Amino acid sequence: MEKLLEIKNLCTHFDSRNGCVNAVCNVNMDIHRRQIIGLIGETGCGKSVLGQSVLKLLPKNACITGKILFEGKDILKMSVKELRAVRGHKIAFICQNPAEALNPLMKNGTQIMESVRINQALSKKECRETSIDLLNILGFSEPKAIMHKYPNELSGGMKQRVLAAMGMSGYPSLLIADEPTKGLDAIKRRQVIAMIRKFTETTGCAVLIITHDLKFASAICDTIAVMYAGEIVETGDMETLFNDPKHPYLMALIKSQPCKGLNVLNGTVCSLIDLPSNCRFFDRCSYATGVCKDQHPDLLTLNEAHRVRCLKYV
Amino acid sequence: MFEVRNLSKVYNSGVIHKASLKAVDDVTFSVDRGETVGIIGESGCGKTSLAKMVLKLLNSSSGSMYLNGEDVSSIRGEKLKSYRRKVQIIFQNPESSINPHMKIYDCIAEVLRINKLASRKSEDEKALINQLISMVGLQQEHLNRYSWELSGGQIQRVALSRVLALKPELLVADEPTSMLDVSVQAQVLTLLRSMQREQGFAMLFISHDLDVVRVMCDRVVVMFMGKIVESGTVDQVFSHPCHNYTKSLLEEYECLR
Repeated sequence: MEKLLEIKNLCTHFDSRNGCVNAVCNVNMDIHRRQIIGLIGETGCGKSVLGQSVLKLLPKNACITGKILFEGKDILKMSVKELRAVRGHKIAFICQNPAEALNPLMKNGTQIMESVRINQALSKKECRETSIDLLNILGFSEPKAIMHKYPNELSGGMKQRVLAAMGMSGYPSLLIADEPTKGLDAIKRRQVIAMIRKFTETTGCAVLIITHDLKFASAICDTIAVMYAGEIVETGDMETLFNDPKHPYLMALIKSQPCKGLNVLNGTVCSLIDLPSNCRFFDRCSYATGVCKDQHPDLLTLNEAHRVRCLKYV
Repeated sequence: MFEVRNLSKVYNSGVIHKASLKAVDDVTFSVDRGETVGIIGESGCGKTSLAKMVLKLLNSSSGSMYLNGEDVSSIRGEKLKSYRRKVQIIFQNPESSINPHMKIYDCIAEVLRINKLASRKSEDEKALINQLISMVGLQQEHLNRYSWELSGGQIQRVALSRVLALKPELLVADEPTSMLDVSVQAQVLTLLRSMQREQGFAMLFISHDLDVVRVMCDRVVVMFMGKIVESGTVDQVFSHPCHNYTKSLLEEYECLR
């Protein structure tokens, strides 16, 4: 398969008053065409920052190093003009908080049509039709009525789908979806899965899904990367990862699902400001040994597709 | 203990082109002491409107509510104040439910001061707050921080400690874990369960995550388009769903396993 996006040694850190926050450390990742890749991990582990780094959507105090090659071109070295041609047209981003992402003073229809018009050269009438089609694909029963409403008249799940419509309007080759199922019930979640699948099949678009919903990730993704404290701790295809997790963090995460017994993983993630020099999961790990206390593990290749960052398997 | 009878809420909008939306339509259910009742339904089916009416943050269009046999649907003034002390809520979004300008200590102390449980800056207040935060598993150091310096799970714990300070009789949990990730969700849910066992409050648990509802609740109420379409014990509803909506909901849910 052809590589669409290649992330090489990506580090993102923020300068804050309390010190340097290392949100993403040395991440390597390849995304191929038509691939659906899931990024899972705890809140504050750098998932969203990684997603935003790809489009350089971060605030000014962020410092991104490494390489992000999109169709052979480094995004980090692009000028503003070049970036504008990529954002929305080639890489689209569906952001996390639907309540804040929509303009409360504009009707939904106007907002969707605006993004359609920016991405495709169409007349106003055609724009309206395209927008209604998009809303139809996204499972709204009355798209015309939705177009005439304001965002505050919709529920959280509906706003999420309006945002998705805006993201898809440019038919991008890579879609980054940050928590697309947050606040959706089982039926809507199923629809989102079907919709993303259909979208990748028809347009050949690759999708990077950032989520903490393990069930959703297991239902939709081909490949999964697990992040912990800014690092990727395990990658592999979905089946192997969920049936045979290797990293203690992923094991604990799977066990803490309500349907798997609600076993609590105690403790919190280590601070991203002063990162420990040993294994970052050491404090919470039930398999920790003396070696883990002194050494920082590297990403270990177990087999071709499955890689894990744990000293247990050295 | 708490009962809702034929409760409805109609939202009216527009001046010239008048439109009305029935968000909650003729809802009847009851909650007993120490019991957890789950409310499930798709997004936009009126779950949150119902919760707001239970708390009297929204006025109902028609219907009545009873707490310990007393009609509370049209109370005002002092009575409303004491009702609100007995019925508390945990919101969906922890970050926006706590004032970012206040330190965690003041956030909790504010609740105590308003309800006259302790006087300002007294030893009592400090002791009470320390007791509260150790109950929800936070440390002393967290008291001097602001809400944005805590993680989502920790803020949800702070919100819970504010609620527990008042020893409520009914706790409405409006999707308390939908914004949290799986490992933190497990922490918060077990905490909620153990607090309920300790204080014996009734809980109205609103969620769309069927897994969570299955673990947490004794009884379930299924809402669809503002109406209750099915209710019963968790086992009944999950193993023998009657209504078509519940059936399809459970089918989709099984598919995702």
